[in-house]
Amino acid sequence: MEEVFQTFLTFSLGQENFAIDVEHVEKILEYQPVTEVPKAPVYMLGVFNLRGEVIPLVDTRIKFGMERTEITTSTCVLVITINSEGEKIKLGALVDSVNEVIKQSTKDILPIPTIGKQSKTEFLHGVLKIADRFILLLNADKIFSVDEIIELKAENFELN
Amino acid sequence: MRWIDLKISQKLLTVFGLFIIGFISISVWDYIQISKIGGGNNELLSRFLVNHIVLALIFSLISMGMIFAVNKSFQSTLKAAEKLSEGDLTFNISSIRKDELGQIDASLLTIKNRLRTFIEHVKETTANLTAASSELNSGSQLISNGANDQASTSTEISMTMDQIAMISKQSTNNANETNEIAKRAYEGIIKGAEDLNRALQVIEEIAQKNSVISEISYQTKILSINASVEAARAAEWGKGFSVIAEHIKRLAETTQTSAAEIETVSKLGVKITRNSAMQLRELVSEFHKTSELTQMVADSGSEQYVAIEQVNLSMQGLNDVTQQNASSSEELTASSEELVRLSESLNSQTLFFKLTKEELENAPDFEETMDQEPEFTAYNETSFNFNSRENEERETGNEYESEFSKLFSDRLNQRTEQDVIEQEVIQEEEPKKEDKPITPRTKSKPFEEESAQKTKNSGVKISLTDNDEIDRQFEKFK
Repeated sequence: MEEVFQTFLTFSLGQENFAIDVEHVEKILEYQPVTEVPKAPVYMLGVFNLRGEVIPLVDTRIKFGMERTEITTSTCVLVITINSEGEKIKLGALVDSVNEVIKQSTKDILPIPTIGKQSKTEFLHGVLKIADRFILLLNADKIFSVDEIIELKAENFELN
Repeated sequence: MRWIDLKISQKLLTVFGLFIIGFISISVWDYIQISKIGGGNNELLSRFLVNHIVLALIFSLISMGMIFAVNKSFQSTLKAAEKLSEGDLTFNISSIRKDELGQIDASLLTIKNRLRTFIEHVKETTANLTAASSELNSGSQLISNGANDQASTSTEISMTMDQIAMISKQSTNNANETNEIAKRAYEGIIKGAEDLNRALQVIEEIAQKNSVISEISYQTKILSINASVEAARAAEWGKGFSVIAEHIKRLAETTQTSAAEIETVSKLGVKITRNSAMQLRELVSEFHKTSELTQMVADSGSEQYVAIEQVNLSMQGLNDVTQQNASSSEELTASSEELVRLSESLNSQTLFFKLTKEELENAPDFEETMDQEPEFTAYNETSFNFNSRENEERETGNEYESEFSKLFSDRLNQRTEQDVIEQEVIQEEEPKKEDKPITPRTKSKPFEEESAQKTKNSGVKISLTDNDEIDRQFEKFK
């Protein structure tokens, strides 16, 4: 079988490292000041302006059930494009820090041990082991549940 | 010799003698004449002659008696006057006649009494004066000594004050120097603090710039990641670019590391600088205290100096007063010594006058020596030695005593020599001046001089001589 290489962008949420396929990543930004949106879900911090586009900002940590992200100098916003029901939606994911871009063979992707049905596992493609660290591979498209996506989409529409 | 200079008795004697001689010669002439005439009145003639002779005898007896009585009556007055002139105030005239001699006697007595009173008074006064002036003398001596002590003490005090002044001045100078040093050190410290502040500012600037660098490197890192992402998305075409992006990322990370180190170091620098500034501030407060203290020392030094100046002034005033005291007491001493001298002089003047029997005995008396002839002759051999030796020993003191002894010897010499005294001009009779040369007295002078001196002192002719003459006169008649 051919070795397929994929390029990932790794980032950190607290102590945990995550990776996301670069195809989904459009840009990496510093933390942007957000305009709050009323009646927004908890993980939705607000919206910000990126060269004329209005992009919603999501706190990835809250999405993953972690504590709210503390804004530091290393806090970054990943502008990602996700595919949901055939529609391309752009959003900003707030992460604690961005590490590097790595190229990995698909062979190295290990499956996730399933311990019951946790919502978290839907978002993960697998686990990458690089050196002594485990990097959780994110499923960008599934980062948000359908409901949530829908919610996002509705808001996008509303804003647009 | 003139008639007037003859003694009264002599005069009477002459007159009576002449008269008796005239009477007798007339009687004899009458007898011869009558006998020539003759006659048988031999008995009557004899009786006439005898009567006349008896008359002459009686007359001469009477005249002799009268002369004797007159002489005698004069004697006591003469004696009294002589005693008075010799200074003998002890005599007394028992009964005062009512005639002219008695009047003279009364006057002499009055003079004597008055003189007694006067001399007693003078003696008492001079004794008091001598005592008082002795006390004055010793008192002024005390004052003088005290003034000397005062002067030396105040000199010591002055010296001590000078030393204190010097020390105080030194101390003030030291304090001023210390102040100067402290000021300079203070300025140095202020400058150091300013430098520290600037250092702090510089470090803060560095930190600022450093943070900028840090920011830039972070953004560069983000950019490089973005570049990598884009390169990955460009797949094949982006491979070279992704390498470059990777390099850029590494550079950014290195820069970030260095910036972090710089930040650490500058933080340390800030801490050190702040510590130094704090220490300097503490030093400054210490210096303030030191400066205050030295200022106090300098001020007290100045006050000390002023006080010392005042003390010195007072000491000078004291010195002046002391000197005045010393000179005044010296004058006082001189005056009191003069006083003693004067009173002694006055006293010795009074010694001429003898008021008591003891005084009479102590001083050679003319009347007594006349009576005590054997003693007189005994003196004869020793008088010369007595005169010269005693007078050599005596300088001041009772000049009259020595004079009297000399009078003694003079008289002796006179008796042996049988000289007639004549008055001569001699040196001053005041024996009192201390500067008067003693030599004339101590050396043996020619007898005439000594005797003349004696007569000048006594004022009248020596009675001895007079009596000698009278004796001689009487012998004529015997």
